[in-house]
Amino acid sequence: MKRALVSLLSALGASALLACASTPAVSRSAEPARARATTGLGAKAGAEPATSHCSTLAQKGAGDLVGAVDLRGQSRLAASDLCPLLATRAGGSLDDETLASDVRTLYGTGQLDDIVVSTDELATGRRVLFTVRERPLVRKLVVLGVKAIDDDDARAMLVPERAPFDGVALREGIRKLRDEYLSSGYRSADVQFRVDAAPEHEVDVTVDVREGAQARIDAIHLDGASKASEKDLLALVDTDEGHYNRVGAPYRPETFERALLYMSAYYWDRGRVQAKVSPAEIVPSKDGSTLAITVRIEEGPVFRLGKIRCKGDFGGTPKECLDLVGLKTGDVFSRAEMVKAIDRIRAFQIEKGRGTTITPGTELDPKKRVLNLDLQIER
Amino acid sequence: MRRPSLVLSLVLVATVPAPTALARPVTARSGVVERVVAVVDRDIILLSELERRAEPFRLRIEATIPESDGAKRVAAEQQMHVELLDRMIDERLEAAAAKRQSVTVSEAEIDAALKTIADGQKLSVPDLLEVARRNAGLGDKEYREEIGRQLLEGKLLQRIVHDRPEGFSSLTERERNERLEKERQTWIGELRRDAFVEKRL
Repeated sequence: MKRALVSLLSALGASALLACASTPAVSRSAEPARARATTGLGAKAGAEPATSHCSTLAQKGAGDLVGAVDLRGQSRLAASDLCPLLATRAGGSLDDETLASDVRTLYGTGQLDDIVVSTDELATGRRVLFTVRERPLVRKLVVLGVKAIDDDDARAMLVPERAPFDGVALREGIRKLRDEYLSSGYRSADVQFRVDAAPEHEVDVTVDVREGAQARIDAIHLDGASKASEKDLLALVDTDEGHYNRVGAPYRPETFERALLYMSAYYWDRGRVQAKVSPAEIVPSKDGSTLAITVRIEEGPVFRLGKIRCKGDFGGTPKECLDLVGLKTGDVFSRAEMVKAIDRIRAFQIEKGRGTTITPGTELDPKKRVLNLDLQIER
Repeated sequence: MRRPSLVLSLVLVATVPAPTALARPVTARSGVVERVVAVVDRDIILLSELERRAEPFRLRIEATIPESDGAKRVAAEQQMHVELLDRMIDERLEAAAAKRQSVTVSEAEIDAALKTIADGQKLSVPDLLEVARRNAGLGDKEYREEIGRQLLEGKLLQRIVHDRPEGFSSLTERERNERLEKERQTWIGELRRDAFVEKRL
């Protein structure tokens, strides 16, 4: 059953934000004298909001200039750390783009959850007030239900304690944890999280895991493989010393998918340049405890080399090109051999002071089962 | 049917009286002048961005709802802001997806699209940009950005349809448009499900 999650929005006090955002800026004259005199650190959470002065004009300058830039709402963070980040300064002009950039800069520190900018009139010009809300600190990270994965490893994927809470990082961590379970064969693992508000502008994060059963592979079918042996193809699958991706072991998708690329390369190195290895089809048993894996393969015919040409900025003769390639017309095409040939030609070109960007072009003649190879060389 | 381009329709259907000036800078007023109106993963959308995008629609509302019907105007503007913010969130998600897939739109592609639109309206490109400015309050930069966004979305949708091509080639144009919109909705739903999105309007 899907468990209820506490809304991140309410956990982070979004209602307070909305109230803040819709409240008209407090005029300077209405502020308590104590708040006006405050510099450096602002008030602690729950206390009367204090304002820090980032920059102030002593007397009105010419034109419509900024008279003062103030900061309010920070408690853990020092105004002396945040104020220098602001491009809006007393004595400068008030500019939309600069203000937007200031908000992005402050948000980009990763320490603040919200920033509201308001302005009002002072005798010395416009006052710009940045009201910030710090991200809450993570007081406690509780991880429940983790057995198959090392507890410290699981915690390392999530959000650290005593650091500003990062909702995006938590979601990414939850995704990583799910992927970790998936790659360990726990295909039905369910990972949920909850964020609860705590006193002193802190939050408790609870991650609840229901691992479910570990599914094991009961069969791997390579449909359509007749020219290559099943043993040779399966040898390309990384089993992590027999722990995964073999019959009787859990399925690890990322390494199995990589093996499908190796299988394609296996065929291309044996002239079967039209070979197609389809993505694995995974069929779980009814109770989810076992998996059958099917890979469909179209091997295609063997292609032999036809014409071999070095084109463009090649620094030698056609014979030298063929010698460097080391293959001749009639040989079975091999992608790996072609790559080696390109490396040899590049070394030759470097020696000759010629172009080293080499792009292979292949032209297939399906009727004759011939592949013409052009090595285009650019300076 | 595929979502019509509101901005293009504003530009090309010249029903809006010419505004006397472009949007007033937010810094010209007192009170709250800037704030975060949405968080999209690690990105934020600002009030000023929303207001800039809303300007053509606000002009249209002003042109169609009389000043005497103030409550209706306010309600229409609020509704427009909600819908526009949703669209901007979708665009941020699309832009992030485009970045992941290395899909880009070049200035030359935007130039070509402008030329096509202008040709379709029997206008020169400078005249089209002037119409956009006069009728929709859009500067050249904003109009090009809008075209760029639409081209990017088109490219991404083409990829999706390419990956799910079943029967697409045999569809009529109307059916294709319907299919594209359906695919877009599904895709946006997937992007939203995987993202951290918080609206603060």
